[in-house]
Amino acid sequence: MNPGDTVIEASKAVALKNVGVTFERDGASFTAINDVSLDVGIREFVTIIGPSGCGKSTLLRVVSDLLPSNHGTAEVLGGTAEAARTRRDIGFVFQDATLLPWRTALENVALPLEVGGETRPKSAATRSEPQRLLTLVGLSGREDAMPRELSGGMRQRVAIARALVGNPRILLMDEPFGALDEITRDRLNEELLRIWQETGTTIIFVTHSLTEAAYLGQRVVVMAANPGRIVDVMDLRAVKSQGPFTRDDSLFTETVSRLRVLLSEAEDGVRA
Amino acid sequence: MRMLDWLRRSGLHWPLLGGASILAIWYLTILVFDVKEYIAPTPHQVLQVIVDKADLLLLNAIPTIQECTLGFLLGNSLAVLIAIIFVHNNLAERMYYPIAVLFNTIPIIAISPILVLIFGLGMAPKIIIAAIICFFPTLVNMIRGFSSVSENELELMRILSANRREVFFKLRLQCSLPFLFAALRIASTTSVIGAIVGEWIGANLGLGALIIQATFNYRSGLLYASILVSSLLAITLFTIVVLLEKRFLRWQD
Repeated sequence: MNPGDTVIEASKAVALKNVGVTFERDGASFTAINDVSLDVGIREFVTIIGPSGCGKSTLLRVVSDLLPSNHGTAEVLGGTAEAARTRRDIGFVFQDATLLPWRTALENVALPLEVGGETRPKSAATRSEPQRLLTLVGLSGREDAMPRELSGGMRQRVAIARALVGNPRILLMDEPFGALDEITRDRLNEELLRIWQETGTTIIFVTHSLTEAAYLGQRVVVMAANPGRIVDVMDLRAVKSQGPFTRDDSLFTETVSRLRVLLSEAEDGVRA
Repeated sequence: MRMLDWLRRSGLHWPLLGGASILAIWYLTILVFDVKEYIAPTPHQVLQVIVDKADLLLLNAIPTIQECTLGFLLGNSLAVLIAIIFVHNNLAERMYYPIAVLFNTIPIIAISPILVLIFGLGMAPKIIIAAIICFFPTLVNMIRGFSSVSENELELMRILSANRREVFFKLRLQCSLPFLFAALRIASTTSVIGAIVGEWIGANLGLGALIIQATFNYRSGLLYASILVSSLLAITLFTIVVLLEKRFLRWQD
């Protein structure tokens, strides 16, 4: 850290208060999320689960300043979402890896260093960062591979490396492993936990897999649709204090069953 | 024998056989119906003219080559430039795109006399006709190409606070290349048509002029030879575009 760099010390990574997002479409208004309040601590790993149309992606897009909210307040690292975005404090991983097909793996990871004018990370260390991050995600040796030569899992690893350029304090992940087979997904989940430990970033992870949500999250946020809202938050920090779940752990299967009940209740609208 | 083996492996033997069969039908038709030479020549008469009149053909090919390549460059550059303006300025697109569509419905051969009236009998009207004929397909394709970026790609650029210039050069331009080359393939052959049509309206030199003269003088051998050279010119331009495409779109497959 250089002297003169301003350090923004926020107590929370994300603080949402009564956030609502409404779209106008063909004269009719459509509420994507309604009255959502959620705090995410620094270095926390939060997973969000819910049926399609519950607004979980919308929530990530409000935090990353891709979408404006119409109601309530959305604070990111103690300021606005826009300020966090322009400081490069936010990394985003999409469901589709969104690699540029004409760039090699390494060139894709280096993209954040080439765009964004003033917001571009500038320190000399960043030059070697893409290489270091490719190694972090387990892809050293594949620097020159083109995206079409990589498997779906590898492409998503490249996307994660790209999102980590500039060491963002918040990593937002929108069903990043949703299109992968189960074995690849399990491996990437384990690696994501390792990456989270090593980088110390805050992660908000959207999924519709119950096992994924339970395995990754310190807290699991359960959402329901029509309108999109939070119906429950399951806190797993105490259960996971001895370390992450192992997959055949009875505690893990129990947690997944509890989540399943919460989710089906949410979908039935019993708790609405 | 070796040659035959090579032919079979390259898979060229069927199209070559197809070509030979058409030549055979051509010969037979002329023999059976006793077609006069000034109506239609035999294939070997055409070859003979190409050998005997190589100088004349080359002399007339040069202006046509210049017209179609300059027209090709002018028409496509203009189309790409206007597509860039349309993509960045919605109002400009709404005002002028319909006019471009309307203009495109006018048959090129109907516009040619107007251009000859304005620009005279020199090379300029031919270049402009070749340019006009290239323009529209490239404009349409480039607008589609620049817009072919995905929602996620644009969101990625926004997260990285990329400005419009960066989005254009790092994303849209690359996305549009497959569309550009599809258009250039079309333009490579139509630009030759444009140049020849231009020469028909008024020119002393050029393959188009040679075609008209040969027709009026009943020199069918020369007519067919001119057509063959025009076709060779189009094939050459097409091949250049395909080679460039291979070079620039290596990432595709």
